Amino acid sequence: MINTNLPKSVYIHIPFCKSKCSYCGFFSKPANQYDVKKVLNAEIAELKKSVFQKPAQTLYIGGGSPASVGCEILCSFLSKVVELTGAAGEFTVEINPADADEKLLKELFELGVNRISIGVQSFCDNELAFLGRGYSAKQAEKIIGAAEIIGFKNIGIDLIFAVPGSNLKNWRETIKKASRSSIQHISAYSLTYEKNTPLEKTKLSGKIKTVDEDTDRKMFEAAIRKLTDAGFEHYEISNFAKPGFKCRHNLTYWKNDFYLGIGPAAASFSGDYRIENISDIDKYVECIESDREPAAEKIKITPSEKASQTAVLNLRLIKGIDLTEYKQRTGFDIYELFGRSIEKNLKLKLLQLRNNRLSLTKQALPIADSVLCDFAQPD
Amino acid sequence: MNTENIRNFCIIAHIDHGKSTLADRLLLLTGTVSQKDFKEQMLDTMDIERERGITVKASAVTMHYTLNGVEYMLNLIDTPGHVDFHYEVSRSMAACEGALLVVDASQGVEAQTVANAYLAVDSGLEIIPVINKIDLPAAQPKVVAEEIEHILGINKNECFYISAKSGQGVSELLEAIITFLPPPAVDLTKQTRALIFDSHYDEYRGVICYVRLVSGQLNPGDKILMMGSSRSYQVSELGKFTPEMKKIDSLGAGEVGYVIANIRTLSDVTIGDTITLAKEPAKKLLPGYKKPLQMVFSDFYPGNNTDYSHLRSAFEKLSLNDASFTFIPQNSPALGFGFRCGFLGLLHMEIIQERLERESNIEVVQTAPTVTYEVVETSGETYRIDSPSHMPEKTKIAELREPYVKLEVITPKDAIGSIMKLAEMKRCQLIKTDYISPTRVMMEFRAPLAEIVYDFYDQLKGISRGYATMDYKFTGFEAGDLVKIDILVNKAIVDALSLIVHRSNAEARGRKMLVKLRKAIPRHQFEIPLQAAIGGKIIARESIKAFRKDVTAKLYGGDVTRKMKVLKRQKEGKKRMKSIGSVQIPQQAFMSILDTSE
Repeated sequence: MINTNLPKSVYIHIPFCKSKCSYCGFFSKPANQYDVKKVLNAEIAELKKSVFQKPAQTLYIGGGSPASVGCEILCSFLSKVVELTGAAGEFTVEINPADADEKLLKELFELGVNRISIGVQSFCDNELAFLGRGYSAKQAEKIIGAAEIIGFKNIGIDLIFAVPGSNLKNWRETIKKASRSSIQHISAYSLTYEKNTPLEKTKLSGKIKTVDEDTDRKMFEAAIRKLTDAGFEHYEISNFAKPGFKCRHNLTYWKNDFYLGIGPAAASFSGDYRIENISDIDKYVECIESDREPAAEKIKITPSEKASQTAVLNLRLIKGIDLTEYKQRTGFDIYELFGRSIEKNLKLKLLQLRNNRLSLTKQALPIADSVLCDFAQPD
Repeated sequence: MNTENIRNFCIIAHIDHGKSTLADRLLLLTGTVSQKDFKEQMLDTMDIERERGITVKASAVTMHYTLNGVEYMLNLIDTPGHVDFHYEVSRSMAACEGALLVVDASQGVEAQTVANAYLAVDSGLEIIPVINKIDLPAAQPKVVAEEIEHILGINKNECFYISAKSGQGVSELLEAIITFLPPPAVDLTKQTRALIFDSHYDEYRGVICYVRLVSGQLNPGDKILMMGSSRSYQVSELGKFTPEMKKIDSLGAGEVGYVIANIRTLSDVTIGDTITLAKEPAKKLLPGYKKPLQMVFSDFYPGNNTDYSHLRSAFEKLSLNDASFTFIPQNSPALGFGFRCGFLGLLHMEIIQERLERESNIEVVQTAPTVTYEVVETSGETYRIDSPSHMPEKTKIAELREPYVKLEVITPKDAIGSIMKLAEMKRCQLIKTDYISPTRVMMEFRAPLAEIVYDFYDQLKGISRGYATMDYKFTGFEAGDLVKIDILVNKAIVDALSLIVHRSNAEARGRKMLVKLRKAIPRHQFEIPLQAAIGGKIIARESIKAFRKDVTAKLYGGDVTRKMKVLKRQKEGKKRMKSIGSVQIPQQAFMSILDTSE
């Protein structure tokens, strides 16, 4: 039975990595410090108790590095997951080139995984070293090649630009390498110096020269231009996809639709509540085993909050907000809440109104936050 | 009491030279306050005064002392010592016949000592020089006595040496007050005349006037007339300060006390005014009456935690206890509705600002303190303006005049060079230099008030390691080559930033202001040109570049809550600034341009 109020997207967090990259702000711990099977069993238990639409429309396995738990454990876990979720329309697994090999990819393919998201980050060895990734560009290429041969039709990669020491020229070459026929989806992110990461500490110590704002912007604009030329659709600020290959799971987030998050630190949105699970792995397991909700944070979302969040998230999509749909989903006329902000940004040519859709203009994209903040709460 | 046995006197001293401590001593010695009831610095009533060690409002205390079998009434009038309250000081002195000139034995004669001493001499007061803090290791009483003789022409042998803290020498001083200071002159005028030398607002009783009876008598129930303001009242209560208020049945000539007469606000009472009886009014006002002149102005606009009506209420409340501070509605296209406030000086302005924050919890946007200018139009019409935005077009102006002051600085001689440099920068003209001791100098300048109205004092302190002191007195308006600098932000004039300056300073000043503005205004989504102009001609330019990148790379499910918080803060940050057109200007920017330090 299809109940439109239940989440159709399921995210499962594997909170383990072999080593932590210098820039990572995500939650993960070394697999060898934990009883991985116990943790994964707890996640299965959480999934069993959760309510969502079956079969799930999208299933996304992220982390950490899912493959760091080892092929056997991962695949055994995933088959249990699939038993509970049914065969999802889009079934993604994140892959770290340092932890994956042909064998793993094959087994995943057999399990029904139909989308691979490879965290390549860069095709430059020195950048990879700077980021602490633990593999070479060649290894990354190998994994991409293997995935293609095995039969994955939906291959996506992550790229990071504005890494200290990089320049526009080698970024353009990276984009060129990425725009080959076997890759259908590219996420391109400007290097973010997250709080409390080793990278941030290095930056604060003044030991590295960060890429200047102008170059950062030029790299962003170059990515948009070149990837669009190569046949990718720029559909979200940081995301590009060939026709038919947009990431449906992430679209759930940007449409502000409901989703379920399983595992330590995972996030869920039920429409009325945003929930963030406990990060501490041991405490998470304890909660599940004592039959308690593993929520560290459960925030009720008021209608006006939801309206703001929907506006901000929708605007992340290049095609922006459909005003009629907005009213249907939030109950508000967007002008009622954000009339002044809309007028101001239209005047500044940072927003555009076309065919009943409100979206960021091309020149607004590099400074999108300064426009999005106007929608963070009603005027 | 026989007027022969009355002594009316004040204590004049530079800050921290021991005036309050001496007053405490006298209160104790005369038995006016018992040891049990005694509190240090009893006569300072307001919190702010306590903290800063200054007296803002005068108090008057009646003490009794018997010497050689005769009972004397000693009225101590506690005067404001700070340069800003010059007129008040002079009126308090008009109520006295004598003054104790107190000088710290380790600090020596300072600018305010001198300023007030001259005022006392001009008021015809008999002066007893008192050298205090002789117990300090750094005390040099003899040197200080020499200074006193040199500057004020008072015989150094007439000095009394005391330590108000320990009490040493104070009883001899008390005797001297009786034996050396004259009693009030007998005025046989039939009509009652009483000098109002101070006033205070009390929440329950209304305005309390401090008066010195010059002739005649006052009794409760009397119908009185304020001669200067032409207002009439009826005396509901008469009394003396002991130091608490004590009711009495009548006040006679030569005496000092208070009058309560259902007077609603302080602005109804002018210091220096004369009270007389309505049924038989005096013919002439007592001499010296003058309406106080505000010397420093600043516009106060409501900050973001408040609005115009709250600011208005707060000002009304403050002015209940301070009639010398004025506020008039003001409107700025850039900042909205606010007030043009007038103060007696910078210290006065700071005190009002502090009280606003502390008592009413109000944030204000404060713009450049300015002075009053005199405009002579080509038509011959002459008038004064309080704000650069009231200046008429250049073509209409025949002459622009600015207020000048006589500025006195006392400094250790090693700072002379730096002070000369500062004075030059501030268009001050040196009139004379006088050595008041082998190591200290008094420098007299002719200075434009506009140049010393904001931070001259601070800079003076800085270059003299805190040792220099200053005093100033308004001397008149003088023509100057003055121009108005307009500041344009994003091509629009922000009138709240306009300033009137001397042409010689204009370009440098305009440029400096733009640099400060550029640092204070955050980057926007577009480039912001900053321009300084005189009469439409651009004299300086700066520009604030647009920010090039401001976008979150990843925004997925788990990022939503955190990211929304950050974006909300970004929006609130924008709201906290004043919008001038499409530019957001933080309140700090308005103040930063005033900072004329390098």
